[in-house]
Amino acid sequence: MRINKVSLVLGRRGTGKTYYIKKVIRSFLVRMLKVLVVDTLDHPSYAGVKTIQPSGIARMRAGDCCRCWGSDTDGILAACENFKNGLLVIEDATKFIEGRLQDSVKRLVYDSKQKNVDIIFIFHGFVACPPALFRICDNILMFKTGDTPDVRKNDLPAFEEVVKAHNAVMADKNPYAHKLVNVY
Amino acid sequence: MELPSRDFFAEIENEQTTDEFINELNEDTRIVEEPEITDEPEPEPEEIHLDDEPEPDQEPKQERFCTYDEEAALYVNLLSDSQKVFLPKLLEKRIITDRDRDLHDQIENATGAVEITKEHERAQNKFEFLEDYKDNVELSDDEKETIRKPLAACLQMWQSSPSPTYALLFAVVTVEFSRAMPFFSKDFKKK
Repeated sequence: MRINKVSLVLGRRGTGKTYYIKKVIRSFLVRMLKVLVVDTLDHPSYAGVKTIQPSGIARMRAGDCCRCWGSDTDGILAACENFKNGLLVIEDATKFIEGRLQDSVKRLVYDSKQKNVDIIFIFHGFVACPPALFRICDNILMFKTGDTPDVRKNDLPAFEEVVKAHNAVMADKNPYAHKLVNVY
Repeated sequence: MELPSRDFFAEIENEQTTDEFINELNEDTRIVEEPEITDEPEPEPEEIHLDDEPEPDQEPKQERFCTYDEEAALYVNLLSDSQKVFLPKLLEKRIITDRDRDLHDQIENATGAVEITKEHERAQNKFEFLEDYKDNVELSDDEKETIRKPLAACLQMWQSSPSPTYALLFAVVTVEFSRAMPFFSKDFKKK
């Protein structure tokens, strides 16, 4: 039986995160799964994707790719609870998630299996990501970051593995280098 | 279907999705459609054989190397496993089952008020689709060939670059192809 994934994508600006996410999105759409990207701003990288209101999330159909953006982060997160069977991308998740995880975020994560949803949280680095998310995520995909895993030493499962992968990414001359670590 | 514009995927058009992370996220079969609540289970789609015997009042058909069903299956077999998820779902929306016919009859022959469920609506949609295109079913061989060629071209493009744009294009052409080939329903062929 397939287990839905909760993934963290970490990387500073210009390291290729959005480029990479487009490939992930394409892989879902080719399989006629839904994709929803949420953001606080009208992100130019997603200009080609139709914007919907939070109330429209529940009406998304198989194979739809939409984005929902706005300053009402709580309202958007609450509406995301109606999203099923697809991929949910939380762009610039720092703006959505506080240091202590809101109940709405916890519900998204804990209900992801029942709703058949994969979730990707995108952060600019280790410090920006709340410790609680490290403890409940399945994957960490690391691009080049401005900080190191050491700042989350006590919260990172598979810490040694994360450090090793991060060191390899930082040492790589390719500015878009990235490594995946399966935390669980 | 709401798909991103072609520009959105332009920069990754030639990129393959063989990355470890992407493979992991796509590692298994998923639910493609929302689960639907019905009073009784949907019957299995009836197996349809269209070319068993020609209708007595029809001209003898040109000999074919396979039936339309088999030909459709050949196209399906050209798809990759992930692409195969898509096409049967598309055809499933078009093939009329006995259950659909019962639901359709319930509405058409009702003498009093009938509670219209989502299942009724789906069945009606299938009939309306056929109604729209029934005049186009009997195409000439040349016309069928005209439709078959773009289907093959779309398949080739989609396989070389599995973008949603081509997926959509393929879907459109497949519907065109489907409506030219009378494999929707046994009864429909008799009309």
